[in-house]
Amino acid sequence: MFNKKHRLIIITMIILLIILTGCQSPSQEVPQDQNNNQEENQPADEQLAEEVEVFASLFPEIVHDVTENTVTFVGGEEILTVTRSPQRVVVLQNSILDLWYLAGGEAIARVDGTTNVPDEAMDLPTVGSTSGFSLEAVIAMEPDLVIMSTAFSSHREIIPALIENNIEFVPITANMGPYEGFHRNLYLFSKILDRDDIFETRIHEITEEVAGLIEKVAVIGEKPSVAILFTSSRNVQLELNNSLAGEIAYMLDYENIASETGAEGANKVAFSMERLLELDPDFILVTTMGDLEQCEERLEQDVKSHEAWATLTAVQEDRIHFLPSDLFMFRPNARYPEAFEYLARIVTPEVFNLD
Amino acid sequence: MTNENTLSQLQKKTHFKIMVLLILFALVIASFLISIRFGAHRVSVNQIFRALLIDREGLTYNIIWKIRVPRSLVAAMVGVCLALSGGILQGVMRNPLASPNIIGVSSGAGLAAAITLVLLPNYSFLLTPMAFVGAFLTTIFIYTLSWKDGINPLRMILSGIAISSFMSAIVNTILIFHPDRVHNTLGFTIGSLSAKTWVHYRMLWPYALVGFFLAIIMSKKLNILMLGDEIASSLGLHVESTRVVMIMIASLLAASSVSVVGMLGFVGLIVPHMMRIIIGSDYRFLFPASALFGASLMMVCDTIARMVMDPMEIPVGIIMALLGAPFFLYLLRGGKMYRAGS
Amino acid sequence: MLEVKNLQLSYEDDIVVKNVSFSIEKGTITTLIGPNGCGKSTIFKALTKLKKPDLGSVTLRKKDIKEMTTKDISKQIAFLPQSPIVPNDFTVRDLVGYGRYPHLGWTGRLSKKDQEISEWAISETKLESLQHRHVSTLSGGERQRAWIAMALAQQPKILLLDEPTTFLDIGHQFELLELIHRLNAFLDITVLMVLHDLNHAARYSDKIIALKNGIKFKEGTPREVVSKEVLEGVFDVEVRVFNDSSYNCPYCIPVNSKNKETYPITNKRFKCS
Repeated sequence: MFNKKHRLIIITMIILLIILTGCQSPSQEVPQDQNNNQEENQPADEQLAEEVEVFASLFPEIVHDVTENTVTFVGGEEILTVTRSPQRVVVLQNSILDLWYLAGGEAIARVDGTTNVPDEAMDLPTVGSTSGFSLEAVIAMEPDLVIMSTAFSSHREIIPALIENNIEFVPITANMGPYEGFHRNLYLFSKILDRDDIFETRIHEITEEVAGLIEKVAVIGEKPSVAILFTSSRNVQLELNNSLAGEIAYMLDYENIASETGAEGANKVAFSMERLLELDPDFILVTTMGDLEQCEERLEQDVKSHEAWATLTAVQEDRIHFLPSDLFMFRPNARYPEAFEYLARIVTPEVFNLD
Repeated sequence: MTNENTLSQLQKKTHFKIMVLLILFALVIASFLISIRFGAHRVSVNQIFRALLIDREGLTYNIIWKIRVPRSLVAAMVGVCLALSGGILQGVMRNPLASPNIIGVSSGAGLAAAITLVLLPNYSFLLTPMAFVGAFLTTIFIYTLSWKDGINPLRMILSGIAISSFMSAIVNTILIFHPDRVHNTLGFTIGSLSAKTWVHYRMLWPYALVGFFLAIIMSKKLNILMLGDEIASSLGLHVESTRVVMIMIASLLAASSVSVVGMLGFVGLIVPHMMRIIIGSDYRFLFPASALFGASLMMVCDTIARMVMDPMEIPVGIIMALLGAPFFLYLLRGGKMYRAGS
Repeated sequence: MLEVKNLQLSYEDDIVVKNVSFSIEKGTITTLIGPNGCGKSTIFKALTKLKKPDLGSVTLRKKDIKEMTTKDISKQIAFLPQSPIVPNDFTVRDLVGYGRYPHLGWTGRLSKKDQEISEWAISETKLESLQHRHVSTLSGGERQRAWIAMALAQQPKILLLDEPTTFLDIGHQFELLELIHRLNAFLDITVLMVLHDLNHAARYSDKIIALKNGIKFKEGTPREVVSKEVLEGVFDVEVRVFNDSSYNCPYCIPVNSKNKETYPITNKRFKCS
């Protein structure tokens, strides 16, 4: 089929390809320069050393070292060091902005949108949307610190530019349960902001309240089973244990009928009527994203239209509940206790009568 | 004698074409200046000059020199590469609808990108080389698949469409299983210039330069190829080897762009067409014209993409698509179609 | 001048040309005739190295074309395929200029001499008044002359023409054939062409080669080939052959098909008034 000449050409092309690919790989600029700060600042005080010991131990795998001026932590895949108490901060995702303010911080710019934006931050100038922001606008703010999410490639790709402009950054990883992330990130932020006091009080209050609710519910022996239907205008899915609502349910020890691990990083799986029928959950909880009417329509079409729908226990016992999106779709953050309680009052209301 | 008359007529035609090229060159300069003038951070022309020529440091300098200038240059290089690639393919395939997409460059890069961004998100720095390899390998694959006693352009186009569809299906399957990663791939799927810096420019300019010269050198051969395989062969051209070399050049040009900027459509398709209307099908003029216009178009569209919803940035591919679709309709409705028809 | 020996050509597993041998002498006009699909166009492809033969050889002035580059061949052979394509904005002058491609230096620019040769080719084909028109705007006959002008600009020794008259009306056909005849007589260009019209072949050729099903059926003078037996064998058609005294060549008209089953004889006389 091929004559010699063709083979020669193809081989030459492949060799060319290998050579050229070498030229295409941008040299991965590891933020080594940030680490240089660490060596210069050693803890001087005894008291400080004690503090470090006590608090660094809370999430040792995240926060590696805290000195008087810097915090060394795991950001994404790298170990980074940032200066404490930054004055000019830009946050590229509003749910993270919320945490930053909760931990006692302030920002000089944020991204578009109103959900999860704390009141004090509403009037901040914006640098674009969270997936389509302007690098130029960020740099023009002359920030000390940029906080971003590793979930967005558009966030990760500005890292070389930030390094080149000597701007420190904190990449927040998104691949853990929301509540876990909530706690960890608040911890990291309070270290950076040098506001352990807020962490000890305000944050502690929140986590304690959540822990209390979990304890309360733990009293019941056998927990009911739930199915969490994530509904958008396009499809219906089942939420897993690492989704927002799923994690809350998991921590309250309810049995999620969709309890396997999803594909890496996913927190939902495709909806299956068979599974719903087979496992027949005690409660069907519905989270909605987007226009409520469209979601209800989608639910009607994909789920309720099945003849077998009426045979489900939850349907017959009228145990279908729509979960409010401000607590179960968008990050509840400071309102986590409210979210936990909301869910507990639906699924295991009896524990509240024991008071 | 008719001789002199003829010669002067020919000269006039050539003079006109050279004039057009000069105007296009001026357009490139103008587009570049416009693109570095506008941005989310407001600066006046005065401030720009002062920062670049005198201060050479400071916020304005950083923004202009480290962000706007390289970004515009990357846009220009991408415009050059994609326009040349499209021009080459339209000639080699003798098909006015040919563009880098049909030789599998986009789908190969897209698949490589999906694999990198979705399945291996921690290795996202590998995106560019992966996309490059994916793009180029796919072309080779489509070429070998459609080879039968030589390359029939129509057969290659059909193979390209089939392979591209197949790869799209795989990409969609990957995305179904990782719906939370979808927003990662948006910029790549549509084509985006955000956060492109000197690093990306350095990756691109060798291709643009080499591609430009190769295209110029091969332009006469491409003219002859347009006359049909038999006549080209009769005139002494090695039809098969010329075709494979040109396809590979087109693939390299497109692969380099797509791997840096994402799957930018329409540039390769519409730029050569628009230039053909103005300057004719002679590739000795069409190539330089396409390269120059491609560069200008990209820089202008990127400026629009950055400024229209400032400070939010729209991927430049969306602006190109908005331009491209009406142009496509215009072509279909029988605007001057310079087609190598029978 | 051009010798074809034991040529075998195939597409995939289909053998299209089997063991065909013939030779073309310098300065002659040879016509290939044969039914559709008998391999005529394929042979032309082999002569210009567009297709590699499975077996056999093609020698051009005693040299095997396998050893020659397409460029060398193109300096000696010009090939005009059926229905060639032309992009919309080529003028006649541009097109003819491309005929000089095999002779150009590395710059690819047309020298003064090249321009002169283009002009000569244009005048030989009487296209002076049309030379700045776009080729796509010309009539069929004019367009064929333009292609021939391009072939002429190549300054070939041999001209290969694949059905040059097929889409022309009788007037233009005649003009074209006279042109070819003139090029052969005054410029000593050897011509090998494919024609469907047997009478044209008979009048203008020195030699006719008849092919059928990929093999050479008969090679000879027009008188030898345009005969009842040969034509019946090649085309499955019954013909009546006459002699044209003024041009001293035969001509024929078909009377019946050999496929009596498909086309039963009708004794109906057609009224021609």
